[in-house]
Amino acid sequence: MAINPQSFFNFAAQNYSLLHDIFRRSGGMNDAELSELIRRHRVGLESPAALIDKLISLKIIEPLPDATASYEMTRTLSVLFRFLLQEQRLTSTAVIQAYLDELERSQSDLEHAIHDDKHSLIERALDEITETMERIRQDSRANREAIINEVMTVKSNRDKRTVSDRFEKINYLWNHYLEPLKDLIDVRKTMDASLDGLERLLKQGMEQFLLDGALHRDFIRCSVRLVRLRRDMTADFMESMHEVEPLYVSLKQDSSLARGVARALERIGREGIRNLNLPATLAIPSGWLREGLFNNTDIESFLHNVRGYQPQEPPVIGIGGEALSPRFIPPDELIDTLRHVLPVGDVLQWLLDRYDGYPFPELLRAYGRIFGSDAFKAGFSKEEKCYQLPGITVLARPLAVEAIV
Amino acid sequence: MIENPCDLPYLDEIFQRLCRGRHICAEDGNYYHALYDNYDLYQQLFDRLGFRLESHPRDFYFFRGEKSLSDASSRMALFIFILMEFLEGQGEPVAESILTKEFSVADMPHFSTERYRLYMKESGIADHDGLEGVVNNLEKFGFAVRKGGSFRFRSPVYRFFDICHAILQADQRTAESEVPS
Repeated sequence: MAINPQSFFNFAAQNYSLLHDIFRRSGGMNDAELSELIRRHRVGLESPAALIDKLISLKIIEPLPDATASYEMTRTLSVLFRFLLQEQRLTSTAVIQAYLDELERSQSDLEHAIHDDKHSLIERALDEITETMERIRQDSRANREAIINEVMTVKSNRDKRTVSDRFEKINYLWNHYLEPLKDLIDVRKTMDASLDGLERLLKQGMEQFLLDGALHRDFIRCSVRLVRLRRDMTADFMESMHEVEPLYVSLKQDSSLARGVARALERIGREGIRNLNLPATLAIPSGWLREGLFNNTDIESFLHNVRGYQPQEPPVIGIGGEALSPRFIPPDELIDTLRHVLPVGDVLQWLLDRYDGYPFPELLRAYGRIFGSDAFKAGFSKEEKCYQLPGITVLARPLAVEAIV
Repeated sequence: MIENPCDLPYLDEIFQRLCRGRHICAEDGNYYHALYDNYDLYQQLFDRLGFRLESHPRDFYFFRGEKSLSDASSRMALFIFILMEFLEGQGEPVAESILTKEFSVADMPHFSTERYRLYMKESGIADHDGLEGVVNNLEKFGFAVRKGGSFRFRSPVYRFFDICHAILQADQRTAESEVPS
């Protein structure tokens, strides 16, 4: 018997907490348990037996097949509850693959109907294609929600599960849902080719039935739904991967570490700690400088050559009592000498003449001292002059100095 | 550009630490940076002197000894293995906890079960004082830092993680070779 939707939703609104509790009893409940739930949640004066009858007539509950006087929530309503509570269950890729097969069959029907120009068959095929595409889209979205819920549960780890347990869960998601889903949306694989074929067919239909307003609109709607399906499936997959991948990687590393530790301890327990030969594996120097001293053959041979060497007396280094090297121009002497010959029109030439035979760097150092000295007033000539020295040519504007008044 | 190896920064301090088995990581500041900036030069110099300087992918440095090896290695490894297994059993992320948590020596699980007590007995650690000794060694070799009654691990603890991975891989290889074709 058909259900009056308004009565259904009115009843659901008045008895939401009861319905929610029935949904939570996923394993079903017997008559007594259900009566107890009803007594706890009922809002009217109806007896539990009357309310059970109403729950059955509104197709909220149905008898369990394997027990008498026991009930469970109907599958349709459970699915609605899961959707409302964001507790969707995972749809395996086998189911999605079955949808895709169905889509291909409908596509083939549509192709024949277009070819034969049979409008009613075209409409039916378009309806079927739309229905299948929406189912795929809803399941893909539900999968995304279910995967995110699962990841959050594993991340929060409220029930203190071990790393290995948590990795098993994530690994299962990875291998049974994400990897196959990746294959499905992979542009090089069958699903994409199949959807490409459908897109071409819908485009052909749109062009062919351009003048048939209703049919043309149906083709457009179907095409738009196809675009949405592809976009949403890719987005769902990417979002799911984004949630799962970092957790998968970190748990995989941790799990391998935990298994390594378990194996190490197992071997220590069975064979003793010495058997693992950990000092050699870690190879940590003990801190005694026994090694490194003579274990290098280069050093060893060098030390053998040195053996028996008789040191000589070190050469005596004279200190004081000798004249200063003529290569050095004492600064004070330089300034005093220059003072006596002022004014000088070309300082560099004067240095070359006065200190003939001195190394050029020393002459330049003296030139710098004169230029930087506060005792003179200095100025450069406008004309450049070329100074020829053994192996060196200097091009400069002559520096003239005179005493400060 | 350093031409004379004797001009390498902190050469004396770095050598003193490395040859005593200490691991030098980023937490060691100038010593780490000196090694990081001049690794090849240090390696060549130490190689000439008969020492093998190694750089770990997790960015720390140590000498790989050959003749006189520390026998504290086994006890340190066992200490860390038990702690890792305990953390795993508590549902903690093992590597993350080891690398980020601060542990109290008094709360260590090493004598909490019969199995752990047997392991400890096997390695010659009889009581809490023995555990203190192990933690002191961990600090001495640069695997941990002590702060009063607590301690935390430093990045060189990855060397013990490497052992776990190596043991697992060796076991897997053995298992694969035993599968009848």
